[in-house]
Amino acid sequence: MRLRALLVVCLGVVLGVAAAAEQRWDSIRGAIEKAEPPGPQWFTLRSGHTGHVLDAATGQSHGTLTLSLFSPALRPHVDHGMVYTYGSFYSRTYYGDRTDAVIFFDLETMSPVDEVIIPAKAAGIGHSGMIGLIDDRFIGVWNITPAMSVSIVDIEERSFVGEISTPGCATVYPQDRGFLMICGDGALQYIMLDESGAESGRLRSPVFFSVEDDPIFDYSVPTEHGWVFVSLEGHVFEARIEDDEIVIEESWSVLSEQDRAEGWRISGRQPFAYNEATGIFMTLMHQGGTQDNYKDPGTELWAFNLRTQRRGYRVELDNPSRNIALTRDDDPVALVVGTQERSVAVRHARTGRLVRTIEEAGGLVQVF
Amino acid sequence: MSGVDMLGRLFSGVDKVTAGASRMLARHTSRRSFLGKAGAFMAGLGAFPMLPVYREAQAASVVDEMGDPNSCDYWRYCAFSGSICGCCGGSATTCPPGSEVASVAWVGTCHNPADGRDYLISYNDCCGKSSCGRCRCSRSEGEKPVYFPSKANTILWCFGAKSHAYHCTLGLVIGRADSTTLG
Repeated sequence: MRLRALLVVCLGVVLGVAAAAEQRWDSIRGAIEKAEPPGPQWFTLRSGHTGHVLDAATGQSHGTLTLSLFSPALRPHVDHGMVYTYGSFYSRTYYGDRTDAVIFFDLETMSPVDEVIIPAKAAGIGHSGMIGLIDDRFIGVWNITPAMSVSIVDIEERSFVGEISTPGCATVYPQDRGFLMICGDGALQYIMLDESGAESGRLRSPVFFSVEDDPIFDYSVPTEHGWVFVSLEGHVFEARIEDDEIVIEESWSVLSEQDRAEGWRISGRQPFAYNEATGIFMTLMHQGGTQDNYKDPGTELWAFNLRTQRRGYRVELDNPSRNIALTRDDDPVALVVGTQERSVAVRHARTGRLVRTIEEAGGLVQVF
Repeated sequence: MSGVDMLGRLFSGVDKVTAGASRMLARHTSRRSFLGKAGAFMAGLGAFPMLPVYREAQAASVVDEMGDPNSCDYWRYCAFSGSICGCCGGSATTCPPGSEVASVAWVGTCHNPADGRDYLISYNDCCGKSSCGRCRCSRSEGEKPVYFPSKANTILWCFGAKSHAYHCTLGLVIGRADSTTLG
């Protein structure tokens, strides 16, 4: 009897040691992940009041950011380990006292670590052009009440600098220590900031598009020299600041005569994208309609070289898209957000080949 | 007629709307009360110096029309974006209970199939509640990007409301597109 008891005890000890060695059981409390440093193909998707942080190289999620109900866009700042956004908050969620703030999210914990209160005027919806990181030092937030202005926040001092009145001009597209805006008279405006973030001057371009006949999209993407704008009829304009002037390059068209005859049009909410390292410029295209269809989903993805202004290929999209982006690395992928199926197609930018599909993901796309 | 021309006419019509509202106030209030309300009204106007449209929601339709006001195909919704208020406890001209009508709006020009004429349509948002989410509709005839806000429907238009939480959108006929007057 003693021997049997001893054997049972010994067996228990052996099994216990084996179980411990295999670590078969999770902690009863779980644990909290920390995000690794961002990779070259990380991107964000903002949908509703959630910002998803994903890696196109793996298709994996690295976390989410909890946004306000009025936070249209994010601005990653990898060197500082931050993602900036802004939002409006009511004391009773949808009503009560309103507070607007620029929020500082830590990239490792995906948690808000600081905020700066700004005037309660921020545009509650829109795209990435509503917020800009200026010279790695200031955040600009576009306001509309409907009077238009830009709130400036100093990200080093973590303080509100001031509000710059910008009548008739929208968006914040940073270049050097300033930012470009699109104006309702068909021109661009450049606001220069001084060391403190206050306005030190402003420039105005010649009128280069007609709001009535062929307006440009209010969306833009950066190039190595400035920003690229595209009109609803497919004319591409590159803008840069040079010798205290806003220079608008001669435009070219993404459409050939045959394309026009076939009724092709550029369209979407983020209808084009650019990668500086390769010069690849992509557009979402659909067939038929008029300028009024400028927000329709694209059924094809066209790839150009911005330097040669030549089209390399076109791809038919199984899942039409309103939102595209290109990662910033030297072998980029295109992120094509679907509208019929909630997913993001990741395509090799040089070839158009489908690399992977990230399921159950959608919204406004922004690359790191 | 260009949209800019039409907006010029629309601005020129705002004075008439203001005058009409003042007359209505005068008819229905005592002098002291009238002055107080008129003062508050004008202060409100002063708070929105760039408004393309400032007027209270109109209840009655002044045009012959046909179609389902809860359908996205309804003629008034040619530049509409959002939820149709008729599906949320309101109508094409009235906000649902508990919401607040925005005092500023974007404007479209829509063709009325019932009489074959074009009308200016003011798309006022109803605000201050969570999004209705029903009867979503997005059309963009003559709609423009955000830097031309009076014709842009991708702006959160809850200006002048206590809360800019979006609930649904109205479609108010505010005048004929070929007329210099509103309403």
